[in-house]
Order: sequence, then C-alpha cells, then structure tokens
Amino acid sequence: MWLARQRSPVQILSALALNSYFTQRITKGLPCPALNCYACPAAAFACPIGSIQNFVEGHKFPLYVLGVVGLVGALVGRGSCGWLCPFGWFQELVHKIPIPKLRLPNRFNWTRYVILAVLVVIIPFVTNVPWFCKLCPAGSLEAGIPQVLLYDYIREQIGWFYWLKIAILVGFVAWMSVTRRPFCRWVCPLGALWSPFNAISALRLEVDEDACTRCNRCQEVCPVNIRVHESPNDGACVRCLACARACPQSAIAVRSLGWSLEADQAGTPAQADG
Amino acid sequence: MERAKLLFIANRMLIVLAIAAILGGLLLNQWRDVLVKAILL
Repeated sequence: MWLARQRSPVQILSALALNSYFTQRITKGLPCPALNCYACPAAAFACPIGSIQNFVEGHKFPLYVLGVVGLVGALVGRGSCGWLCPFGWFQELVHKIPIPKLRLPNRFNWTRYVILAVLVVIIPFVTNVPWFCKLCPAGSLEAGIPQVLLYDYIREQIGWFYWLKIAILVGFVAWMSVTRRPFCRWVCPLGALWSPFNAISALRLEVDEDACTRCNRCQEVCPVNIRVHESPNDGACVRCLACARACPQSAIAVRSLGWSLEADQAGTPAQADG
Repeated sequence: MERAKLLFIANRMLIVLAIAAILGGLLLNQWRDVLVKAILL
C-alpha cells in the first residue's frame, strides 16, 4: 500500500518541521497537531496540551486550542499520533532495541482519560500550575535535557524535581523498549482527546468482511494491540496502517468520508461512502 | 438513513464546529495567550 509506506519519511519531516526553530517567532501561537513540547529550544509551534493547561490555569475556556484539536480529529482522528507526533516516533525507534518484548492487553487503557481529566484540567484549574507539563516525559526529552545542556543558569537551578522528571523519562524509555507505544496507549491526554474522533473522522479504516479470514495478523502487527477485523476504527488506533500492509488478504482499506483517497484493490478509485 | 450517510453528516458538522471554535478563539485573541506562554517558556 503506497500510503502506508510514506509513514517513516512523514514522521521524520514532521519532527523536523515541528522543531524547525527559525519560524518560531511567527508560528508559536499556533498549536501543533502533536505532543511536542513548546519549551523545546527549537520548537516552532505550541503544544496543544500545554496550551490547554495555560487556559485552564487562567480559568478561561480554551476555545481556540480545542477548535484546532477538533479540526485535526475530525479530519484524521488519531492519525496525527501515528504520523506526526515526534514522541510517538521516538517510542517506535526505542522499541526497535533488540530485547525480549512484552505484549500487554488493552485492559487499562482508559487511564489516559483519567490523566486528561486530573492532570490537564482539574489540578491545573485548582493549583494554577500545569502539572501534566511538569511531569511529561516528552517535555523532559525535548525541553528539560536540551535546556540544561544549553543554558548555564538553568543548570544551576537543577534540583530533586528535575531528577524526578528524568526518572519518569527513563521509566518510560524502559517501558517503550519492551512494549509498543505505552505512552500513547495509557498516558497521552492528547491521544485521549482524539480517541473519540476515530469513530467519526473523515479518514477511516474499513474491513472487507467477505475477504477477511480472521487470521489475526492485523492484531499481531498493531502497535496498540487492536483486533482490527472487529473494530477497525477503535479509539486507540493511531492510523499507522501496519494492519493494512500486513493483511494477507488485502481486506483492510483506507477510506475517507466524502473524499477519494487512493485506488482500491481492483485499481478503481475508492467509492466515496458519503 | 443509512449509517454511512449519518457518519458523513456528523463528520461535516464536526468540521464546521471546529472551524467556528477556531474563529471564535481568534476573535477572543486567544492565540495571544498561546503565543505569550510559548515565548515565556
């Protein structure tokens, strides 16, 4: 599948574009479609989760940021997690470390909604402190470590809390080396915001029930452990299209609501299902 | 009404709602709150 093969180059380009430094004076007022810390010295855009907390701290409704998040969700669902998020890409790279792997069931993946409610909304509203940002391992990786390496005055302020952040990051790196995308599955509040959009987004997966043999190959390759043939638009799906590439029957297709995306198996344009 | 049609309508309503929210946020100058916080960091 042509589209699925473009994911790695898109992930590289996205990580570079979101941290392109030179445009930051113009573009930092725009929330980016990924969890990319805006305290990163090279960050060109604002992190939507950091921005939401900023509004919540000021007891304002984040209409603008939620509009951007909603528009991305309506178009591609959690597609940004699989294609654009630098921290999602980092998790995939770390998982390539050749050590024994652990497949975990999706039983507790509702925890990301709890983190969204508690650390992004309730606690920042009460304490006026962006607590998710303070603990975010993506922030530690993209901002905490580079800031300390770059600036003497920040290095002098290092205390126990910095080492706690580093310990959280190290814990996640260990977890992602054995389990695929653990941060996306159990923690990410931006993923939690986008999850419900998968059911209704323009970009969607469809399974040809007649062609599918229930071989379960789709679940084996799925980074978030979804039974794709049963629930192709599950809220956990990051639209990486690994299932569509791996399906021996070519039974999984990428479709869009109203827009034709690519030729189907017979070589004719995909039918717009709207 | 068939499910595909309902999904299509719901998706387009969501897109319109999201664009309205962005425009509303821009009218309230909310982009400045994002920018100021980002520059402070």
